[in-house]
Amino acid sequence: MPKIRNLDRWGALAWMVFAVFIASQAWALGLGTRSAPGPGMVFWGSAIILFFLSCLVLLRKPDPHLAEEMSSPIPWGKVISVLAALGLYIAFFEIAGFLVSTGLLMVVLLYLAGATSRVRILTVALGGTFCIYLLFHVWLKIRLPGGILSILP
Amino acid sequence: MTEAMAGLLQGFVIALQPHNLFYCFVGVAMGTLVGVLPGLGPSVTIAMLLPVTFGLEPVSAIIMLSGICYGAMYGGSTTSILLKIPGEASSVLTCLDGYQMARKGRAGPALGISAFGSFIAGTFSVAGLTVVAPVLGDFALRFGPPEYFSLMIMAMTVVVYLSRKSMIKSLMMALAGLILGCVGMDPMTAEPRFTFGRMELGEGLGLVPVVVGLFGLSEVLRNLGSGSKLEVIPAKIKALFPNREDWKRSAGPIGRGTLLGFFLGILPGVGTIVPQFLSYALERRLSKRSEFFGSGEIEGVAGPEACNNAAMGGTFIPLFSLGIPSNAMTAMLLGALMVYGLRPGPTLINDSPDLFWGVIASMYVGNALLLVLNLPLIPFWASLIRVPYVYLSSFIVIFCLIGTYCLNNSVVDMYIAVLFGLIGLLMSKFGYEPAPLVLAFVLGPMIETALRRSLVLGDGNFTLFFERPLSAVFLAAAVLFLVLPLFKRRVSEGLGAED
Repeated sequence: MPKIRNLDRWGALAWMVFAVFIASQAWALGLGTRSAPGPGMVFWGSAIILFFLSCLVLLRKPDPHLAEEMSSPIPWGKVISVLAALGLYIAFFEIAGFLVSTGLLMVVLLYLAGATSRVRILTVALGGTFCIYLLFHVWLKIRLPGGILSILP
Repeated sequence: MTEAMAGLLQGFVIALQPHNLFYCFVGVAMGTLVGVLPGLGPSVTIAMLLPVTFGLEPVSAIIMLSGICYGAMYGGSTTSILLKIPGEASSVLTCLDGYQMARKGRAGPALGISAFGSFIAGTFSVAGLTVVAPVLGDFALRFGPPEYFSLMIMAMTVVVYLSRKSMIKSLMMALAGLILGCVGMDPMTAEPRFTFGRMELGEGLGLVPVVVGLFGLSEVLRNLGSGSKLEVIPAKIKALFPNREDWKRSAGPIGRGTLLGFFLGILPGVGTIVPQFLSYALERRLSKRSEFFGSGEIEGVAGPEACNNAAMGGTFIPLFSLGIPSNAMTAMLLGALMVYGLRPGPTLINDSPDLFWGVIASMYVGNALLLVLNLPLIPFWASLIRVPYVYLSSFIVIFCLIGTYCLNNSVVDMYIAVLFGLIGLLMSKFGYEPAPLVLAFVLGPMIETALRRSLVLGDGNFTLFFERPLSAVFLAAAVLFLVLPLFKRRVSEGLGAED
């Protein structure tokens, strides 16, 4: 129960910080008047209500629904690895091109998701990348970055 | 009425053109596929496929995208019956009796009655849509900004009220969605707001990266390493056609589920999940064998399955005639309509009759296609469930990212999708639901514009919202939905004290 309470509190605190940030920025944008509302009015109003609701969550009994969330822990190590891989993929997507970057990302994702056979990982990654390329680029005529392979004839 | 019939006939001329028929088929097949596969919902699929439809005519694109919506309702039941895992949230209750029927060797009749019930309910609700949407659209022409503002607030509070988790948290999500939805140029002064100097954010955060992140990527991140093996009900599924006894027992539940689903689906914000629960509860209450519910009663499959399909048709009514989505799925469809420069609402039928009637006619065709497609292909769909999630998840990630990139050829959208993937994961960990956020995100700019116009109209007087009867009714309903849980708690606390 204390764990759930902490989880609930941390969540509420995060939303409080978000609400304070939005309210202060909205104030700077200008609230306008009642007959001529300014660009910050809706942001400010929403942030104020969000702040009070966060206070309520902070003060009330812990959310019973969190118990089920606690029972299925998230593998944070894998999540961070996947997020890092996705960040790198996006950073090099236009430079390396679709085929190279997607092929590599598929290999990493399959490995992180728990695939063990190297041959299967490589087959699925390369085959899958090529099929997606055919679907989007060749069949649907959607422009995908060629990257380093675009120098090829 | 004659106008509607003439419109519908014109719609059939459009829907039956070979290319539209093809896109209808692609839509319902994709819908069934994502309904079958757990972890990939119709909202994400629409988001992923939206860029793909850019080369198409708007009618063909919307025919395909709506096919995904109602196709997913059919597909969701397959995993519920064979795996006890709902492919879709709206098939949750089919798990209870459907899976038990399958364990008793009656997977065929369960899948069959589910498909027939879905067809009957789906066709009825499209017929209702044909009649009701134009009438409601005409009526909504009288709405001014105050009525629209109040109606959208009511829709949001209904979604918050019906949330499965904490209501306060759902309300917080709706407010966060409102804030995020209003990011970008001010609609009246064109002043940039929360864009942090990025040109890409001038038009606001894209709906596609937000939905793809919250529903698609976050689900994959959540299931990383779960590696659970699914226990699929046996290989051969025989006798898909329910027998006479099955029909006799299912006719009533299908009829009641259809009516209940359709009328609840019309209400803005209700969506498809709650009607299904009510249908199950109703069938259980009416059944003479209520004690056997949960152990393989066909009424427990027929009623909820008909109900969720009828509700899906019902949700198209506020979408097309008022421009108000009822759930994340229809919010995504609303976003798609806007991408095509169309404005859903009372003027849609007059401004784009070909689109409106073409899409409605395609739904009749699509429902028939689904029946033909589903019955013989059930073993095929069942075999797809055996694809290990390890492989499936990698493809979902790539499709999500490429779909997001194709929208504007922008890697910034991909970063936003990944960011919202992480946010979605944290939200689920902290017990916050994404659906109210997405709905408010879509409605946000409309709510802001309606509110500001109303205030200008009323010279800053908030009483304007209460002086106009319709607006007052909508706001009163909104307040009721917010206050009702407090009374319910008081009553249950009082009863607890008495006990």
